[in-house]
Amino acid sequence: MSLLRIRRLNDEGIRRMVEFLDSQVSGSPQQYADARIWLESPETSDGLSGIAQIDTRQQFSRRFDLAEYLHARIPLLRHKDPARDAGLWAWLALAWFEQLCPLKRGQRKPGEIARWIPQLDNKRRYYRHYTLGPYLVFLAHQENPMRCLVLLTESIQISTSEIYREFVESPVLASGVAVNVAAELYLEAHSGKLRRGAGVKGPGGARRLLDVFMQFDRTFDLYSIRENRLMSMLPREFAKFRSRELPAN
Amino acid sequence: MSVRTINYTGRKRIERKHARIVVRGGDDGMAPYFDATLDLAPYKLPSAAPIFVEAYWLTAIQRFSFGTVGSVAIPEDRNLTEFGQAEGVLFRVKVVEVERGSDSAADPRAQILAHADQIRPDHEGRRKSLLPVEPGEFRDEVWQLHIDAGTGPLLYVSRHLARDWNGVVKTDEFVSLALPEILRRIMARALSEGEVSEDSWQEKWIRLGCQFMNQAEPPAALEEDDAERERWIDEVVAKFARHRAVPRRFAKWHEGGQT
Repeated sequence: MSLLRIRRLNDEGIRRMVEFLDSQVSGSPQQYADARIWLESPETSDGLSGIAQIDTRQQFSRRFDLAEYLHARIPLLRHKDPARDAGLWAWLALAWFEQLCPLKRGQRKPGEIARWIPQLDNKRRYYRHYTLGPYLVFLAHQENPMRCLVLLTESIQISTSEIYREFVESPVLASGVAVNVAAELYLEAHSGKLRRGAGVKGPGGARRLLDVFMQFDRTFDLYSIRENRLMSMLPREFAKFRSRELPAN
Repeated sequence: MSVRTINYTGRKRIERKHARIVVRGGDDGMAPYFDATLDLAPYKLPSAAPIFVEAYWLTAIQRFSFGTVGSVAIPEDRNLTEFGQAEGVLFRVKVVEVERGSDSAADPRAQILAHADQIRPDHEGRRKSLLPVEPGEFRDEVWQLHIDAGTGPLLYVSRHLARDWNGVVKTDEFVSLALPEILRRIMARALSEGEVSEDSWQEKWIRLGCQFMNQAEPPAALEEDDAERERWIDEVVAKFARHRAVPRRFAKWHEGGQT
């Protein structure tokens, strides 16, 4: 049965999930078939007032696709505050565990707990969660979600990336103008993938772009500024990524 | 002695006492909402400059237009619908320059003329901490104490050095090494402000000192005698340290670290 009604892991479910994740890097890993039962057991998970289902066999090629999929379903839960419900996001991550953490050479490497159970009180970790992180970015741009594709192009098995981290940790994430400029610079329109060099730490890379944006953010309101103006203010190091001529000022 | 800071951007910093935010409601199943009291007159800003109030938490942001400096228009809808609950939501206020040569607030050039950021709102019906803690943007120190004559002390903890910046102040290390000195500085400032109103932050801290000293009022000599004031503050700090078990807490981590 691959269709599951969305629930949330309770304290016991989260405790067992931590044990399950820890066991994956021990000599005797617990089987996912056993953990999967927790998704529906009242001992380890609670129901939610609204009804929404997910398909645990649904394959996502990009984090954007996962976020879009969740964005269509989370509102159906009629949850007052889904973003703060760590149990909900842990449940979703566990539901897609095999896709998020595939066997490689007979072993699974789940990585840090923050990828599986959101650490909402930690500003440097909450966004590393496999399901919550992409969902929050998508939500911030729900009026025009395609622009945040530049931040969510990676495989869902990647919990963070250079450009994603730089944006999410900065106050300019929700600026549609800033994200549009990043997309204009780094996203290949035909493939929807990042251009080569976007992730570099040096000149012209995403980290530098965020440094520049953060500098601008001290002087300009990046929610009011026009995209052309912001683009024209960028230093020359970004010229190699510009795909179109700017109108003359 | 005050320390001068250089502001390369030319934007003005709106003091907290001029941008007060109160969050109300949210307990009845409805979205919480906020009231903002803005006093921008002291900053001599262009009357056509638009004002924006932004509420934010993690990746979510909600932006409200408050008209212009010359014609403040409080929006009817100030519901914080993006956050589910208001816990942890911070606010910023921005005054933005209008297009040069234009008087239209709808077409801003987007330069920030004045701002206040990381405003921690008051929550209606909730007791406000005497020493609020907020994340600091500095990277070379762990904490900084800012004392605003109008709004009182605010403790900043570097969010770059301490991810759990709010938790740092509860640790044995912080309580035993930093907190007594923080109290000393706040008390010294509170007692140096001269006559203060009854509901002022100075009065609240002086009353706290009196509680530790088991006194109904601070001794009259404190007003005139610097040495007496210092001695009184030292005693307050010592009693506070005993009350917060500073020796035991210091030994706990210090000796624990040595073994």
